[in-house]
This record gives sequence, C-alpha cells and structure tokens, in this order.
Amino acid sequence: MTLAACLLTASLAGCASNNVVTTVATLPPVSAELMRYPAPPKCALPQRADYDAREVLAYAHCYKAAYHALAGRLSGLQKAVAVRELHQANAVKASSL
Amino acid sequence: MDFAAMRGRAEALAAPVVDRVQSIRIDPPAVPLSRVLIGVAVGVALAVGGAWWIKRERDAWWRDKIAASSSAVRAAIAKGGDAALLTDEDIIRGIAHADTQQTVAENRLREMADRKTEPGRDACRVPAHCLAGGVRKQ
Repeated sequence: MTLAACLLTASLAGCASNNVVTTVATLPPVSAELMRYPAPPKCALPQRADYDAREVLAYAHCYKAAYHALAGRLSGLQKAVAVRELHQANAVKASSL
Repeated sequence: MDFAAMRGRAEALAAPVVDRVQSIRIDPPAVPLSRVLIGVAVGVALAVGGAWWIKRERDAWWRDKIAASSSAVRAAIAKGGDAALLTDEDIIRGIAHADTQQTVAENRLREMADRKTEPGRDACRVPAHCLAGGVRKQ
C-alpha cells in the first residue's frame, strides 16, 4: 500500500528516499546541581533570654553568608540560562536559509 | 544607396513571404490529424520533461541548502553545548565556595551557641527581645 502510494505520488512529492530527515539538535540541559533547591540556612539562635554579643554577630554573619550563597546560586542560574539563550540564537541565525 | 532603393530591395525580398502569409490567411492548408497528434504528444512530452527537470533542479538546490544549514546549526549547537557545560562548571565552583562559606558561618554560630558563658568576660549581653523580629526556633 505504501509502495503504491509512493509510486503514485512519486512525480509530485518524491519517494521517502528523497525526503529530508532531520534530527533535533539541542543544547545540554542546565546542570542538576544548579537546579537543586537550596536548603534553608541553619542560622537560628537557641531559645534563651539573652545572647552574647559575639553570638549575635555570628548570627548576622550566618544569614549574610546564606544570602550570598543564595544570590550566587540565582546569579549562576541566570548566567547558565543566558549562555544557552545566546548560543540558541546563534543556532537559529545559522539555520536561516 | 538612397532610401527609395533600400525600400524597393526590402519589398522585393519580403514579397514571397508576404504572398505566402496572404495565401495561408485566405486559404489555410489542411493539417493532418496525425501531425496534430504528434504535435500534442511532443508538447506534452516537453511539458512533462521540463517540469521534471525543474523539480529536480529545485530539489537539489533545497537539499544542498538544507544540508549546509544543518551542518551549520550542528556546529553552532556543539559549540554552544561546550560553552554551556564550561560555564556550568564555573558556576558550580562558585556556588560550592559560597556554600562552604555558609557552612563555616553556621558552624561558627553553633560553636558560639554551645560555648559556656563566662561571667565577667561575657558581660555584654543582648536580651532576646532586643533582636529585630525576635529569634525564631528552626
């Protein structure tokens, strides 16, 4: 049946051997490490009536470090996406006939 | 040679052709059916052959274009993939450094919380209610 259809339409569309078969080429996905959801920082002070001043300072430093880690992760993810978008645009540009 | 002479010469040359055209117009010769059929067959063959040739040339042009484009896209994707993986590695190194800093800060806080207070030396104390927003238990 397929052969008959191919023969019938050969003059119009060509047989399967003349068709262009394409495979999709894609950029690699973003690394799983970058996609990992960050754990909440362990910066809580124990329940007490009062705290040593250095303890409070360490508490602030802990949250500051957590902020920088989170910001670095977000910035890295944005950079990873930007690099892929740039090279995808280049591939689209190269695909124009 | 003057103009009148040139005109006379041209008319003399064209006279047989003009006569022939006039005779065909007045009394067209009968065309045999066989010749008509042959003409139609030749015309159809030329049309089919021409269409086939045009299609073949067009397809070859497209195939070349698509092949060139595919290789260019593959090259661009391969280059982009390498760059993306290298960038990911750089970013992961940066994240690992920041995570290490965070772990150090967490450990430092834990050590401070576990440390025994020494009266006199640790005289400066901050009441819990003075911390902005209070301290919440995790």
